[in-house]
Parts: sequence; C-alpha cells; structure tokens
Amino acid sequence: MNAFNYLFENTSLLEKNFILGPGETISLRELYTRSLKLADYLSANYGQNQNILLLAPNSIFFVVAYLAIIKSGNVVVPLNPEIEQGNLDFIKDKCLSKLTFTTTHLAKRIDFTNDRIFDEEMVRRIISDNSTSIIMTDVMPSGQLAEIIFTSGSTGEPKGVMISHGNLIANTGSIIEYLGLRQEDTMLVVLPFYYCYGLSLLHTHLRVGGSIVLNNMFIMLGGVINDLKRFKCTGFAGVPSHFQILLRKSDSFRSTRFPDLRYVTQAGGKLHNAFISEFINAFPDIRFFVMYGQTEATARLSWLPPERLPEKIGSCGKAIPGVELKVADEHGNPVKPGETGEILARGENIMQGYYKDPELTGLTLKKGWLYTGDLATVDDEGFIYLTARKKEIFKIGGRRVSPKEIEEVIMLMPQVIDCTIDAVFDEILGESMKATVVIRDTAAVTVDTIKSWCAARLALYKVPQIIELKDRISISATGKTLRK
Amino acid sequence: MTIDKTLIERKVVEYIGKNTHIDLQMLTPQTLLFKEGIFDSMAFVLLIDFIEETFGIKPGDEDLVEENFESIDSITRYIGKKTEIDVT
Repeated sequence: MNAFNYLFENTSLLEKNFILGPGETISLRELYTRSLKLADYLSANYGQNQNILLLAPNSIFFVVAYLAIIKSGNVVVPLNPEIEQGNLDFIKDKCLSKLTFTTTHLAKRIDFTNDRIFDEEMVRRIISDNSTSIIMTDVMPSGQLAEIIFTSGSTGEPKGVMISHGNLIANTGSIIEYLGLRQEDTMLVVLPFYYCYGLSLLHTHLRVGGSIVLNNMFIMLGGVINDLKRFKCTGFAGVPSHFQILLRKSDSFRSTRFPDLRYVTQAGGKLHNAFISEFINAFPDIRFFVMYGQTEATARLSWLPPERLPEKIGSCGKAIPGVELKVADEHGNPVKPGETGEILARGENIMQGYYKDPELTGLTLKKGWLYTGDLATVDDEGFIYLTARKKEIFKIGGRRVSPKEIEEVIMLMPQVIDCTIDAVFDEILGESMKATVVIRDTAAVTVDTIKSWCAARLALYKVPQIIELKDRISISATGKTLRK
Repeated sequence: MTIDKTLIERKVVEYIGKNTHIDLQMLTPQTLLFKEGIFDSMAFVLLIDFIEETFGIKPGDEDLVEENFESIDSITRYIGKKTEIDVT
C-alpha cells in the first residue's frame, strides 16, 4: 500500500482543519486534494523512483510537497534548510536529484545548480490547473522507498537512511496505539519535519484525523505557551532541550495551567532525571511519555508507560508494539540484568539500509537486526536504561552532530595542529561542544577567529560553544588523540 | 533618563557580529534575523543572556514573542522600551 493512502484512509473527506493557526490553516480534505493534484503532476511529468529534495520550514507548502512526492511513487529527501552548501552538494550528487521543492526565499540563498525548482508559486499554479490527470496506481510493494532521511554519520559525511512505505506505515500504527491517539487530538509541533521525530507527528495525526499547530519559533516561549492554550493542544512533543528551556528559562510555564494538555512526549536523547521529576511534579495530570528511537527505525523503538515513570525513572521503557528489542553482548546474546550491551531492534519499521552504502548497511543490519550503536542495561523486568552511545555522535539541542565533521573543519585552518571535540553537559542544550585546539602560534589564532572560521563553513548550531587553545597535544597509547 | 538608542543599536549590532560571525555589511536594521537564517534558537538563547547582562533586563515569557526580536530595529526598540521603564 502507498503510505499516502494509509495516512488518508479514514480522513480524506474530513472538513476539519488539520493545520490550525496562528498562521495558515488547511482542512484534511483540502490537504488531500492538493497533494493528490501535485502527485498527479509529478507522476505524469517526471515518472517514479526519482529522489526529490525538499527544503522548507514546517508549512502547508512542506506538507503538500512531502505527501505529493510520496504519493507519486517518487522518493522524498527532506533536508534541513540550514544545510551547508558542501553537504547539500554531496547529497545532491549522491541522490542524482534533478528536482527540488523549496521556498523562493531559500532558493535565493542556496545554490541548487541545475535542479528544476518548485517554489510556492509554482506549486500554487500546478494545484489550480484544472486539466485532467492520470490515474495513479495504489499498488505498491511495502519495500518500495518513500523517503531518504540524511543524518550525520560518524565519518562526518551525511548518511542516507532509506525508509520504505511499509516502514512508515508500521511505525505510524505502533505510535498511534501506545499513545492512544484520537481524532480529538491536537499536537503543538515545534520539531522540524526534516527530522524523523517531527515527521512522526505529521504521520500519526494525519492517520487519526487529528490536528497540528505549527510553531517554528519555539524559543519565543510566550508564543509557545499561548499556542498551547489558545489552540487547546492535547499533546506536545520535544527533545531534552525543549523541556530544559521550558523548565529553566520560562518564568511562567510551571505556574501556567494547561487544562487540555493530555500528554507530552520526550525523545531525541536522554533528559536528566531531575528535569523529568520537576516536570511531573509541576504537572501531575499531564502524562509524560519517555521514548527512544532512531531515524534508522523510521522514528520510534521504545516507550515507557507514564504510569511506570515514577518507579522506572531514567529508563526509556520497552519495545513499542510490533518491535522486538534486546540488549545484547558482542555475540548477539541478551545480557543479564545490570550488564551493559548494545540495543538491537527488529520489526517492520527498520530501515531498508543506508543509501548507496552497502558496507555501512552490512555493519548496521545483521541477520534481520538493527544494531543501534546505543549502549544500555536492562533491569529484572526488562526495562531498558540507556547508558551511552557506541557511535560517536553528539546531540546538540536534539540535533545529531558528528564531532569528526567539526574537527575536520577546524583542522583546515593553517595554524591548527590538532583538534578534538568533546561534548560537555549544558543545562539548556543537553550537550554542547567544546573544541580543544592545538595551535602552532598562540598569537596568530584566537577563540574568535576559530569561531568565525567555523561559522563560515558550518551551520550555526555546529559551531563549538567553548574553545580551549593549547600548544601541546595529548596522545593515547594507540596513537589517537584523546577524546574524553 | 534613558539609554541612548544609537548606543543600544551599536551594542546589539556588535553582539550579533561577534556571535553569528556574519559580515555586518550584509545587515540592515530591518533584516529579519530568524527568517534570513542569521539567528537560530541557540543564538537567541545567548542573545537573551546578553540583553540581561548588558542592559539589566530579564525578558519575561510575555516579552518572548517574535515582534520583539525579529530584527535589529525591533530588538533596539524592545530594549529602549524596557530600559525606559526600568531606568526612569
């Protein structure tokens, strides 16, 4: 089944608004009609199985383009609009993309070379064209690709996670089941749709016929609190830094009452127990779902039932419906309670592999299991507790950052001899980056020149917050520069 | 007595230049800092700390709305308004 058909199976005729204010609004029926129209156009003019890039902030434009690409049998590649030109060129070359959906504004800032650009105006014209269209087939093998989500790889190069129509359908169904989502649910979406967690909110609420409120400026906390109340949101989903900012930076969040807010979900890294306790003490009536997942699993792998949270604090729970999880030793055997192992996952939501990277796919998918690279322990009842990541990826404000990518950029400075990036705890961001830079001549380089160098070559969130200059190098016994 | 508006603007511009590392020639007082991708949420958190340290203003939730921070002009206006209230 085409995932588009699954998402709209029971909701394509509903007149209720799917996207609610404060900005633009659109009903489910209109969203279905517009997406179908654009899908027809794509299918008739460009065929199927092409990788199509999509760069836009969360908006009706994004959602229509995303759904249309999937429906047309092409593969959507959603990218962070803040992407560096170098990473974009790398992904474009790898995907052999010829079509890009992006806003007029972004098209001015980013060089898409020879791509055919579809901006807001172009999409508007296609949708308002009344010519007859072809009938697209709904039959689709479940392994057919729906999207490729690029994430930071430990090598520093982005890796493309291939998600099929079947993956998307399976994970959406599981999430709806354990969260108990209904048509009456309204989610405040502050997570971007180029990120699997954000996309899962779109998928699940489309499927149940709920609503979403788009807020692309989380940091304007007054606006967030207003939106939650004004649109009677029943759900909020965030990464650790969202909860940390709400609890630490807001002067009114804790004392505000949200009578409609039924639940919140937290994923995208470990939120310290102190913050979880603080939240559940301040809002005893709001169900708090701790979850764990990966892009490689479409989005979600485990959840902790809110009723068990007080006694299992620190745990990311157990497998979601339709998924099997085990914490295993190096031979793939389950570890004993209290011992550390790697989390392995199996289920219909597990990716098809990394795009054009059979070697990395072979290392990650073995005998039907996804090797997550996340280390954990289990307790007597089988609840999982994350301990660390095996792979070297940091989560800065919920976004995956490869320290290697940053190190390579700093190492390009002629005065730099060596550079090591470490993650340090940050009360607001979860983790922030510290660069220890070994330089030839301390007079020639300053903290500011290094930051400027990084900012010219990297998205702002990848610029290390703390930089320490050194004139000596620390080397481990194996010859590697030490990373703490 | 209020802090001179041009002084506020100069300090804000200086801060943005130092922390976003962009070429200040590209900025006008009306440039939309978030929409143009000059500021992300992390840069904004740091801006709030800067405003607090430099001007002694702690923006409350009701102040944290886009209209107050979307451009250098609006930030300057916001600080001006707040310092007038606080300093007078």
